[in-house]
Amino acid sequence: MDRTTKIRIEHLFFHYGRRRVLDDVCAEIPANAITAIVGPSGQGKSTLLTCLNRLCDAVAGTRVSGRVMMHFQGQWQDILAPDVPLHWLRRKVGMVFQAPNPLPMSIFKNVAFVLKLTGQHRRPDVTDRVAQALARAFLWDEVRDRLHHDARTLSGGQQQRLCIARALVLEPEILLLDEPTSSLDSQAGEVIESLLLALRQRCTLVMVSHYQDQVRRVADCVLQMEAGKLKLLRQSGSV
Amino acid sequence: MRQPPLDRFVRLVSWGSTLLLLASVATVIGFLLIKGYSSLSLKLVFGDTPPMEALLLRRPVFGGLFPAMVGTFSLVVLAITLAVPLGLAAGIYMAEYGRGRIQRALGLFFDILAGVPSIVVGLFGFSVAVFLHRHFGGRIYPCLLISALSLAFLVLPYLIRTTQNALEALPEAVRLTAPALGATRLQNICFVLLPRALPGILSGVILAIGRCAEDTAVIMLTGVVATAGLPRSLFSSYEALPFYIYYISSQYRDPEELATGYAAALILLAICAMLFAAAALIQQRLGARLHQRL
Repeated sequence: MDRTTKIRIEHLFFHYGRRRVLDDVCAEIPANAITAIVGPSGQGKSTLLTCLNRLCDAVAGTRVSGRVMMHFQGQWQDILAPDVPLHWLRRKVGMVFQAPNPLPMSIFKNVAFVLKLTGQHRRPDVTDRVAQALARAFLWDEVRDRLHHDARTLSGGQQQRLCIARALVLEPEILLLDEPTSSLDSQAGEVIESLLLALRQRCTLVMVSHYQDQVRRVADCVLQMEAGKLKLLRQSGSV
Repeated sequence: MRQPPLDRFVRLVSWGSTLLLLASVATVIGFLLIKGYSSLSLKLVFGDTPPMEALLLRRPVFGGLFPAMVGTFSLVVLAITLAVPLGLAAGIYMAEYGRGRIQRALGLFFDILAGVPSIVVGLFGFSVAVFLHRHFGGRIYPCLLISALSLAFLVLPYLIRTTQNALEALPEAVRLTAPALGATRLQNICFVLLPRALPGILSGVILAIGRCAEDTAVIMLTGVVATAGLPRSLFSSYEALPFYIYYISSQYRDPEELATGYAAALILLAICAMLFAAAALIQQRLGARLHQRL
C-alpha cells in the first residue's frame, strides 16, 4: 500500500434496517491532506464519516461490512474489526458535527472534559493542553479572558471552533468534519476554512461539504458520493 | 391577527382543562383547610407533651399526631432510599444497555408491575413478614422495614420507566457528543446523559414520594398500627398519617374527632410538599456537582 495513504476503504457496505446506504464503497484517503466528500443530500456522506470512527455503532439497526484500514504507528489496522476498542479509536479519529454541540459547561471545561475522560487530571498539564488546543483552533485570543464563562455564550463560529479545539486536544491523527461551516455565516466559515488548512500539517482531514467554492478552496482530494457509491472526482498533484 | 376557528377552539379547550385541574386542586386543598384548619394546633400534634421535649425525643407523645408524622416521614425516606438506586440502575439498563426481545419483555413486566394494585403488594409484604416470622424464630413481625420494602417495590416501576424515558428522550446530538470524543459508554452515561436526564428523573421521584406517602393498603398489612409511639427501630411497628386518616374517618365518635382527620390530611400534604422540595433541591445540587466533577 502507498505510504502516504492514511485511510483505505475496501468494499464497505452499510445497511440501515433494510435500506442499503453505502454500496461497495472503495477509496483511498491521503495523509496530511483535506479530503472533501461531496454530493447531494441523503446519499450517505455523513454515514460514511460515522463509519470512520464507528459512531454508527451507537445507532440501533445498522449493519456494516467490508474493511476500513487505517495507518496508525506504522501499521495498518482494520478499524471495523470487532476487537477494536471504540474509545481508543475515537481518540485517534476526532469528529466535528454539523451543528456546534458544546456541553453545558464552561469553555475551559468543554475542552478539559475530554482530557478527564482519558484520566488526565493534573491541573497544570490540563491547563496547558487546553490552551494549546484552543490556540490551534484559532480561538485562544478570543476567549483567554473568559475561559470560565458558559460555552453557550459564544457565537456560532466560536462554538464550532471550540468543538474543533475539543476534538484536537487529544491530538487525533484523523479529524472528521460533517459540514462544519453549514450553520455559520460566511465570515465565520472563512475562519474555519483557514483553520482547516493550518491543521492539515499534523492531521488527516475528511470533510463532508455542500459548498462547491469551499471544496475548490480547501480540498486536496475530492470524492463524490452518489446513491451509496463513491468515486474520485479530483486529486491535486501535491498528494 | 385572527386565528383559524379550530386553533381557537383547541386553545380554549386547553385553557379550560388547565383551569379545571387547578380548580380541583384548589377545591381539595381549600376543603381540607376549611374542615381541618380549626383543629390544627400544637396540641393536635404533640398532645399534652411540651413540643420541645417531644421534638428532642425526651418525652413520648400520647394522643398527638407527632408519632404518626415521624412514622410517615421515616417510611417515605426509607422506601425512597431503597427504591431510587434500584430504579435508576434498572432505568439506565433499559435505556442504554438492554436490547431486543429481553428489553421489551422486561418493559412489559415493569408495566404489569406498575399496574399491580397496592393491596396485592401489601399482601405480598404480609406474606414475606409471615415467612420471616416462621423462619427467624418468631422475632420478626410486620414492621417499618417490611413496609418500606413493600412500598419500594410498589414505586419501583415508576422510577424505572421515568428514568428510562428521560434518558431515551435525549436527542441524538447530545447522545453522540461524548462518544465522538472518546468517552466510554459508562462515561457518557455518568457525565453527559444522567445530568441531562435529571429533571425527568426527578418527576419520577416526586411521583414515587407521593405514592409512598399516601399509600394505606400496603402499610395496613405490613406493620402500621393505631398506637405505637415513635418507631423505635426498623423492626418495630409504627404509626402513619394516612392510616390515622383512614382510621378516624371510619370510626370517629364526634365531629371534632373527624376534624382532626382533616387536619392530619393537611399535615400529610405539608410533609409531601417538604419532601418534594427536598427532592428538587437534591436534584439541583446533584446536577451542579456532576458538572463540576468534570
